Amino acid sequence: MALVGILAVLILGALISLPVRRIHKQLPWYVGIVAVLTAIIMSFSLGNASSGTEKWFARFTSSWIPAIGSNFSLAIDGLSYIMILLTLVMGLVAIGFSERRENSSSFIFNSLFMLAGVVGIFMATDLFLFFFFWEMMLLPLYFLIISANKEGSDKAAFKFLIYTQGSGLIMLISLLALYFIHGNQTAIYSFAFEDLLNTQMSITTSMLVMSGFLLAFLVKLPVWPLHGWLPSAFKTAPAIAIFSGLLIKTGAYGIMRFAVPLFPEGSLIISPLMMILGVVTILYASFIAFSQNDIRVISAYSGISHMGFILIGIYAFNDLSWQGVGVQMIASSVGTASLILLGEIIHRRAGTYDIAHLGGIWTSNPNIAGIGTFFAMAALGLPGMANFIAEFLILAGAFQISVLSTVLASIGIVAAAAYSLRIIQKVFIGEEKICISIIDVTLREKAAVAVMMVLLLWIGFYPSMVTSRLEPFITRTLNFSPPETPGTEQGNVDEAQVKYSFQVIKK
Amino acid sequence: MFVALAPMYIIAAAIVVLMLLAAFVRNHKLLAIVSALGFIAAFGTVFSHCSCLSKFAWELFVVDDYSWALTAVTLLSALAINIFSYFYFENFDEQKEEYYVLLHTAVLGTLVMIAAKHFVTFFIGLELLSIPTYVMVAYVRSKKESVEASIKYLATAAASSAALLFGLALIYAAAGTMDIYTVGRFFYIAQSVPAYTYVGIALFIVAVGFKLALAPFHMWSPAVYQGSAAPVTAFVASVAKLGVIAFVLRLFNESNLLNIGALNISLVVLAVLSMFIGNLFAVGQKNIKRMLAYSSVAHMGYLMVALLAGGMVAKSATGFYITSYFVATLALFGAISVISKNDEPKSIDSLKGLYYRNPIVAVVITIGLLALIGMPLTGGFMAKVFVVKAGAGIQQWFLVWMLIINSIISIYYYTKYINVLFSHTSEEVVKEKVPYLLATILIIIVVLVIWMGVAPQLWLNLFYN
Repeated sequence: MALVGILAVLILGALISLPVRRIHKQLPWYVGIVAVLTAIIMSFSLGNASSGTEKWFARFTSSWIPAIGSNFSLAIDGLSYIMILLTLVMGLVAIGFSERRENSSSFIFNSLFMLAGVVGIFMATDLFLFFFFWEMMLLPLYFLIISANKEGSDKAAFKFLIYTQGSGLIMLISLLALYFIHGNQTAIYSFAFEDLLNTQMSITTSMLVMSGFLLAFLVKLPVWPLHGWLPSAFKTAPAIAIFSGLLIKTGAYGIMRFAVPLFPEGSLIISPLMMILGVVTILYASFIAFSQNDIRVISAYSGISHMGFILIGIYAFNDLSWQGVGVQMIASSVGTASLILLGEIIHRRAGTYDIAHLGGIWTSNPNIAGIGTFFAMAALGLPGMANFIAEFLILAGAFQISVLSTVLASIGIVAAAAYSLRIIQKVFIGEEKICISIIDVTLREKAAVAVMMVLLLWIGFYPSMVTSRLEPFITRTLNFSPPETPGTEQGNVDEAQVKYSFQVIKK
Repeated sequence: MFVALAPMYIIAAAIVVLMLLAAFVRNHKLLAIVSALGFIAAFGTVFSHCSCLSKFAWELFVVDDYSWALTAVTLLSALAINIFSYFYFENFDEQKEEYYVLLHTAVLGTLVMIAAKHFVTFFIGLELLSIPTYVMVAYVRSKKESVEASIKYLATAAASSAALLFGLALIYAAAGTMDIYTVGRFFYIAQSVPAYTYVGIALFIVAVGFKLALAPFHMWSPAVYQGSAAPVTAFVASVAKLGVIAFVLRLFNESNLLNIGALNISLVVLAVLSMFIGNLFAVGQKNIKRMLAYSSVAHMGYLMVALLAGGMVAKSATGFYITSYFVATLALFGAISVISKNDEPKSIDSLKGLYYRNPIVAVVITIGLLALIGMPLTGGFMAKVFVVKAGAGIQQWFLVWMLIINSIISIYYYTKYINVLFSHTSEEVVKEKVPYLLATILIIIVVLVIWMGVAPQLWLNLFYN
């Protein structure tokens, strides 16, 4: 019941935010904050009720469209829970950070609807409902982009719509194909995930249907060469960039939750190709990020390169790497968002996003420079921050499958260091090239930045909070693949090493 | 006995009352209200759900849940068009009162076609619908393009009526009867039918294709949509097609015409042609009404996919698709008629930044266009899903793929218009006011669109009897 409650709170908040604008111009913003906070509290309460042994720890089912065999069924397990919390917290930061502008009400309306769509995606266990929420998160973001009132917004909105809508429609075809194949075999026409899990298909059919799903998820991810929509979306507005950063996690979630379990043999076959794509994405995005001057574009490509890591991690089919993927989803969202926030903070004072024109901020705004250095260090994967754990786990797991991919991906880490340090060097150190107002960091900006820092450090030092939640999901999903080495530990690395060394000491 | 055909009786009575009123009392408002009351009264009888027909009517009409559902849709749409027309024609100096007589006559024709089980009934209903429509299209006599559109429509419709009659005569010559159930049995039993029967069926399909604006019989539709007044376009786009669709669906279900391979193939060809021609021609359109004309050609193509499925699936999918398409179309043309106070929007630029001038209308247009794209949360999405399911159910994967490809193409030209609504203009923002009744009707229609998109089962059950 609480599951529907979370969705209801967000949608209700969206609907309320429209008329309250008449009362006071800034009221919608407060409505938005309250709605997201309520949703976060409700999600926390869900997590405390977990028992740890069952598959799902909260369920809700209700009849929706019996005519096609689709039910309104929601459920969450460890992975969903983490993603929902991440979404809501990032949503809170995005809304809190944005200016309370003129068209506040439609901004809050669209943002809350989008958050509801994304949260719905993480909850849905009925594939038709999943598709419904998938498309539902596109619309509000599209409207956010077109009402952003920048020069490139039209093109950005159009690209976004065509890429995501087109791939979504192809996913619909695959979904319907799966539905009909299953129906033909068992005479049960149902969209429920558990029902569709064991559909018998020939390898060719399975690969064809899987590609439809994968196309949609890979466009969302985004991998090279389907990433065209992301950088232009990032340039429109900071909140939109943060939301886009959230959206791309749904692509990763879709692959982990649906594409891999539904088509295990197909996934194994396609795994080398995916590793190659992942490596190409990492290298391509990192090198482009290094050559860009617009800090928003840099953070977009940095996000894309993190997604390349995720792709490698997923298709290594390894407990370690899947743990890494879980952490990376959080680390990447927070990291990309933090770079966007940094860019916006600087823009509000210097009037530009272009790092080639900036310089020497350390002397005039030491606080901002300190924050910026922290986020740049996070982006390059300094140990102690979430990105390090994530990339380490992914590469450790991928190393057992494909040494070449791991080596090439590590080059991406070096490139990440390059573009992160370049930001620091260009923006903070050196001569002052442009006059910048020396307004110190405001309270709202401090709050947003603090949330990011806490998240990065917390997960950087104590990742088992995340990995222990993911453990049941990972063991269940990956049990079709043969174990790599006997006695490979599940769960987080530190614990395993402690156990091992403990046993050594005991002997 | 009276109850089964009650809507038709009430509308017929309303025609007489309106004619007399128009002759004696020249008051636009009064006539609009009486006209609306006529529709509401007829709609009230829908709730009786009666299937009891009197003896003399039994040969010509069939009244079942399906026809009641479509009658309800027709009457509600006509009511909405009535209200839009009142506000639209308020600004014109010409004689406005006769319009409502024409509207009622055309609606009567549609009601007759929905309940028809005999080809003659179908023809009577068709003519009852078409002739007033010619006049309605030309109603604003001062606009040259209205009269021109009407002449084009009249000429081509007359030709298609002639073709229809000849085709029906050929079918009669072969089957010996014009009752569609008997004709169906004839096709089922007969070992071989004379060759001219196929000619008859082909001519029938030609007439149907003309009326529904399927390619390649769609040439009249851009001119008519663009030339007529916005409420009349709403009528032509929605109610004028409903009767024909209802009858054709009944015909395909009850007679086994779909088993004729040649007919099946030709319908598939018609569907695919309509989809492509509609979408490809819509891409370059600068006038929103013309774009909607071509888009409706494409939508009729999608509808054919559902029609081809046959059986219960076809009935429910078609019924749902029609309803959601109507609601979206009414929302769109209603909104257009609201902003056509002084002058019709000539090109896409007149819509620029509409959201900042008139947010309600802009949101209505947006949701209407989204429903036509088939965006989830709108009825258009569920409608497309049901149609795809119907097509996949009969293994017509080719048609399903064509539908999906065309949906992707259509995103482009619809979003062009949505983009324009939200683009910022540098001029002064002058807020426009919308009359409360109009705003309420538009909002109700939009709520219906979203309701059908979120909880479609309710609506599907209406057509699932």
